[in-house]
Amino acid sequence: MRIAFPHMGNAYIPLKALVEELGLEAVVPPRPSQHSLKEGSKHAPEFVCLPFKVTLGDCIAALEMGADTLAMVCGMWACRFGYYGRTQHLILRDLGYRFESLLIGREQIGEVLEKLKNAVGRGWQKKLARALRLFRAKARAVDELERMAGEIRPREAVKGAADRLLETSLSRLEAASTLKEIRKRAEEARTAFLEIPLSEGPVARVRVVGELYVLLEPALNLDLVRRLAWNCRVEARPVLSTYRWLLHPVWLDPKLNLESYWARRKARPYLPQVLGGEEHMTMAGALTARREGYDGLIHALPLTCMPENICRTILPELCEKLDLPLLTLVFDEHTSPAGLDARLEAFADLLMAKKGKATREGRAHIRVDREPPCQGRKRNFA
Amino acid sequence: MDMRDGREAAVVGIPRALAAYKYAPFLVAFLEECGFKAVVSPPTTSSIVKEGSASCVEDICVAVKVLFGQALRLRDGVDLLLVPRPVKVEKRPHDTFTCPKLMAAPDMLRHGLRDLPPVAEFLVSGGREPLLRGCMGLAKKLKIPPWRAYRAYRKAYAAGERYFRLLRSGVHPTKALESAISGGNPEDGLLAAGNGDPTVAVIGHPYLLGDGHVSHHLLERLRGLGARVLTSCMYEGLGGGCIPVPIPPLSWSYERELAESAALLSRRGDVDGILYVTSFGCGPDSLVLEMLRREGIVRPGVPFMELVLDEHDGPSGFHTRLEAFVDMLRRKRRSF
Repeated sequence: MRIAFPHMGNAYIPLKALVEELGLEAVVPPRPSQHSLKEGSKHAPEFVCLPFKVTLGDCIAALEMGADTLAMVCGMWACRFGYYGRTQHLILRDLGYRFESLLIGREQIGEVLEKLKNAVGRGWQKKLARALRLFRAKARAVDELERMAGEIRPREAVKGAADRLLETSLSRLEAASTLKEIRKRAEEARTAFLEIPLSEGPVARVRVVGELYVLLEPALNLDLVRRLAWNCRVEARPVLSTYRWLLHPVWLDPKLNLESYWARRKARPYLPQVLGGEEHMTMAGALTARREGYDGLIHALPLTCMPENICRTILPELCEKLDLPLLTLVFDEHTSPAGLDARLEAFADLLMAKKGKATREGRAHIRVDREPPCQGRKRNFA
Repeated sequence: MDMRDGREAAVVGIPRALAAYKYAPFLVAFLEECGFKAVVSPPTTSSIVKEGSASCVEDICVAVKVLFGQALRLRDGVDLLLVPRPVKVEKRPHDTFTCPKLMAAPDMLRHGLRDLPPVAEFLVSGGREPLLRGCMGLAKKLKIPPWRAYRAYRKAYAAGERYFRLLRSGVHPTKALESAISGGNPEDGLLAAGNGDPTVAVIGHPYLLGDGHVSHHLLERLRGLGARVLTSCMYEGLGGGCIPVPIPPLSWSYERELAESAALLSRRGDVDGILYVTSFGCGPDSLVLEMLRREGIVRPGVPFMELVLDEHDGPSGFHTRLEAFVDMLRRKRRSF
């Protein structure tokens, strides 16, 4: 069984560990790119949301690499995400690919376990338990490293130091195969992160809410978090994380489920019904942003996303009431980095001004910290 | 909530949009029976769509924009806006929903528009008798005694059924709604009359097919081209009889209804072609359409065309496609 799954941020590290610990082979397609997006859009329905197109592109790449089983989460929700797997597999079969579907959902759990049992063989319960433990440990370590990198990135003295470290420690983490080793690698990375030299200067903090996939897949949001950190010295924190997404539905970390419950309670005055997406996290994220020390809110969503578009009609009034600057970013396959940069910079300037830290040095700092390609272009003009 | 402030009866406005195309006759009868004056906003016009689009998110479907426009139109004349919120409208072993935009319609109005009268909701959310439960919730909000609400519900239920019967008999959805709300003879709106050449089955949400302006008077135009028209509204409220093909498990009730009517209509001997009407950016439809085509729910071999509606009114391109489709069906019929 050569199992493949679509990418979402760094979710592939724990997922790969899970599959390999079960004694199966994991096929990891290349990171999503313009190419896989184009490939996916070619075969996807026209009005479907962006994640569908990207993950379809991933599936095609994985099948080309020789995967014989495609795994995908599915469910009976009001959001379209629950039907991704089923529809994508229909499309792929019509394209002539032959493969086994592994649709993981509450309704199909028996079927999935049966398939796993057949593939893994004797002692599958023990193997599955061990694999899940490893999966959780890796997911937690990845999440922690991402979090630390996110905190350091806008404050680092040498641009890119945090990301270089993140990359090496993630690849070392990927190679780790026991719990002890994972713990050791995470500890090493932690100390290394603390040694990164930081620079002085004001940093604005922004909470990022919105649709899960756009929030967490850098290829889709055009590296929103890094752009904000490097170009604007803004620390952007998504309310969602890969860790949350992976462990919330399987109850491997009850804290996440409790968090989700509280978010639903907070969102209830605005959205009393469950809409199937991450709308409760969006609303709760906006409602608690001020109290938790954020200066602004970024709402990111793919074009035609249903739950987030509903939030989008509600958020402007809410943010005005909360006195919270709001920037809405809608992503589709045509979003250009230049337009995004202009909007982000304007928003960051506004935040800095609002924070009362728009001193001359502060502003100068933002300008100095520009991305190198921009300087290169200037040189060409001269 | 006491809104009568000295006047005869409080006025409750129902925007003619989204789920109102299912529940308006029922709600009007219920409210009138409870001593309110119920007003359904007038049919959509281009200025309503324009106002709605200006006050709403850009990439949401045209039906929500119509809802916003209709609510703005009602704003000044009414004491209360009433918007249906269908959530669980059928009994199934699994969870069922409607489109998130229907489920959050009252919330979007409450928080998305300023200076609106208070927005009440009619929640349809499961239970043994979902409509009765919704009525009781509404009665509590409007301070109607339960016994009175129950009596009104019985009358309203009959009115709702009358409306569904009209739809099932093949009356034009707009005319059926009009005659169910304000009385009048719906006979002249019979779409399925005659032995037209060809017969076209039109599948789409009632809030698109019933909205003459948004659908560019699609049904009348088809009649004008000499076609006999069957619509998915004819399967309104039948709730899954004997469907000839397995329908994939769908948690969206209304889309499931559409898929079922597509399966039934495409297998009728007298249907020559199928038109699927959807709106730009419709979430559920984008995937359901794919399933319809790829899983053989629409009988393979039946001509099938998809028409996408949006808020831009320029019907000529739309009409060209319709004419071409009808011509093609006619030619196909003659060649046999």
